[in-house]
Amino acid sequence: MKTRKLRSSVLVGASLLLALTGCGSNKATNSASSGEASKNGDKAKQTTISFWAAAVTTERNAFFEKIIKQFEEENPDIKVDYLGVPGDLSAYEQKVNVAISAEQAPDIMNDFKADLLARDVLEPLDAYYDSWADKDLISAELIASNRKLDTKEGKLYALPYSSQTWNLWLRPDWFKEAGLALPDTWDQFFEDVAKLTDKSKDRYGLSIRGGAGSANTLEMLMYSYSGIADYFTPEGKATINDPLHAEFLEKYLGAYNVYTPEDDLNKGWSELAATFQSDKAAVVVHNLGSASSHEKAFNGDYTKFEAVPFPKGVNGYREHPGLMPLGLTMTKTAENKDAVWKFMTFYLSHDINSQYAKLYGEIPANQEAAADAWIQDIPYMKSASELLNSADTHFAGTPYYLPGYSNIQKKIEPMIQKVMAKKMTGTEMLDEWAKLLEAEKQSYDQTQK
Amino acid sequence: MNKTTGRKIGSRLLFYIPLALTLIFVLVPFLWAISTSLKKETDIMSSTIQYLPSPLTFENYINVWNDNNFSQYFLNSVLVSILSVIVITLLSVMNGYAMSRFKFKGKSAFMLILLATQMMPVILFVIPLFLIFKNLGLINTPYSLVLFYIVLQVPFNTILMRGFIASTPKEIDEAAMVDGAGRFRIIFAIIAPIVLPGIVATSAFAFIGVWNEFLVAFSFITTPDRFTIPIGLKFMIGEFSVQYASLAAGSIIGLIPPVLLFMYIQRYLVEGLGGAVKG
Repeated sequence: MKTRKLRSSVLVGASLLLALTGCGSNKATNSASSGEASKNGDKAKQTTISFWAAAVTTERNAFFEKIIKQFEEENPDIKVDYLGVPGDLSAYEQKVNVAISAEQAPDIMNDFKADLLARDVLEPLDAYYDSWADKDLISAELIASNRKLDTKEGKLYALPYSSQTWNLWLRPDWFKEAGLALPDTWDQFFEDVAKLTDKSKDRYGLSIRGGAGSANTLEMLMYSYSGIADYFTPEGKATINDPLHAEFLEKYLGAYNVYTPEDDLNKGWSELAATFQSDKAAVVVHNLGSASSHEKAFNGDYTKFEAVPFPKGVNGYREHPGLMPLGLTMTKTAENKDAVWKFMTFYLSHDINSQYAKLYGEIPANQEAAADAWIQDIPYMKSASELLNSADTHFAGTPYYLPGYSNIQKKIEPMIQKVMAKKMTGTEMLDEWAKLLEAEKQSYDQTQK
Repeated sequence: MNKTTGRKIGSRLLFYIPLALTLIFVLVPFLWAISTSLKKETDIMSSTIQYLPSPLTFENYINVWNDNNFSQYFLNSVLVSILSVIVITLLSVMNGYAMSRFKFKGKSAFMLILLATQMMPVILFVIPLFLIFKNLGLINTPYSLVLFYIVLQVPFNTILMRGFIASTPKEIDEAAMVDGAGRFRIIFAIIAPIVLPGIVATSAFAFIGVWNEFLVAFSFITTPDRFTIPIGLKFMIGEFSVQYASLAAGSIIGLIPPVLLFMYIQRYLVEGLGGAVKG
């Protein structure tokens, strides 16, 4: 009896182990096997680098697969292990964070956050960049904005591939029909929004993002309205609770449920875009990244959607949020850094950068690509390019260098809903916001000493 | 209409109205997804809401299955789910038997720990198990997912199976032992057929849990051709674009196996849940 029991136990245990571990060993080394040269025949000198692209859709995946194939054909000694990570940026960050914790981070990422610098994950690119023959082709402003993330030494940790502007996405056909000029000042903006609202037809002058991402949008709008360039005074006091911002909040969030749909309270980007694309709102606020979605929804009919810059602020000039640092980053754990750099510069070459920016609806970082005809042919790209290159555009000092910057915005989002629902005043919310920013700045300054 | 007929109609209304309301709330989103999946992408965002697709198109299903690599994701999901459910069920039945029949030191504490693991969020397990599986060379294989799902689901299902098995008389085991049967034979040849409804219920819940799981599969798989359906669906929700028609078609494809499964096992399921209450 006992022998039979033992035999059965051993059999079951062994089969389970075989089934699980034996089968598992087959392709486990496939991921991020950086630097391992294949030992067979003609691939003897081939090195492998890994690249994880963020927020990939089917269309974007096809693009990356195509350019990687092209890169591998041009560089037979390098193999790129590519992973297109679907979903939004936060999903990508989550996946990357797990990989970093397990020392399995990909060699190349297109995520660039102050948090990664604080954790010492990224390799500085200055030496590679300085000796790169085509470095002058890359937008100097974008390089400068990327260097701002390293407030101490100003090192370059990401090679920028594009930029995008914040805009008002609006319905030019509605403005034309109502005999209104496109808004150039905030006063005009609020007047237009009121005139374009016709609740009986379920049409609204504006749709406000009250759900995920609301604080980010609101912050960009407030600084544009006030024209305040610095987020902190020399004494370290936050400027976010400036009276001008409170004044803006009263007008903008005060428009909720008056000139906007009632369900704006919970809208993230998808819902906001759906409201705009289904003929319910004349204006929504978002960056240039919305372009491809609007293109599809309106069948490329530019009489129905247009991107215009934020109106001029109360000081009479146009202030744009500071350009968000972005680009391709190289992880410190990458074993074949030369091969990684080769792929990064390929990504930034004229043709590839142009294709990328066209697909993503962004302004290419490669200045030759930025001069391509398609940018002048597409109205929203032309408008964005002019805004970025205009000498009259001021840029706010958005503190992307604070590791907790985006977390603060997440903490503020529920309060925005309270202000919209009139359960909290705008001033109370801004004071809370200021406290959080000041604490984050203090903590950051401590780490820099 | 006499009083009795009126009362009958009244009681029927009281019975059917809540049922109809529940059905509406459950079915409308489902029907809406089917309708969306059969519309052209451009018609979904039109200013006038179309309740029925016009023109009707099956393009989204074809595109999702072929171009979005859903055929591969589907196979991966099936493989992971079947393997996981088999092991989860086997272990849960054996654990449940042990917990129901044997007396041993620390049994109550063990039960408490099993229960306590159910209170922890999954994200807590992700990094430590990622490291363990990495060292075992299992990351980026379906087996890392299978092991994780076993770890995640066995405690709850053990508790569930203990309830079912405890409701069968111990005398059956004793009679079988007198006839020379060992514990394994008792569990799989005698107890298992008796608690079959419970086993089916446990497997069905395990299947749904595994089939729908996103976080772990998303964290552990680093090659696109090993993605499962929940990750595949994410390809249709970009940072700034959502392909509603494809997303609906993909969701419907993903729904088919669980729906078929529950249609097939619903009889056992009702009996099984009854057993759990008894236990």
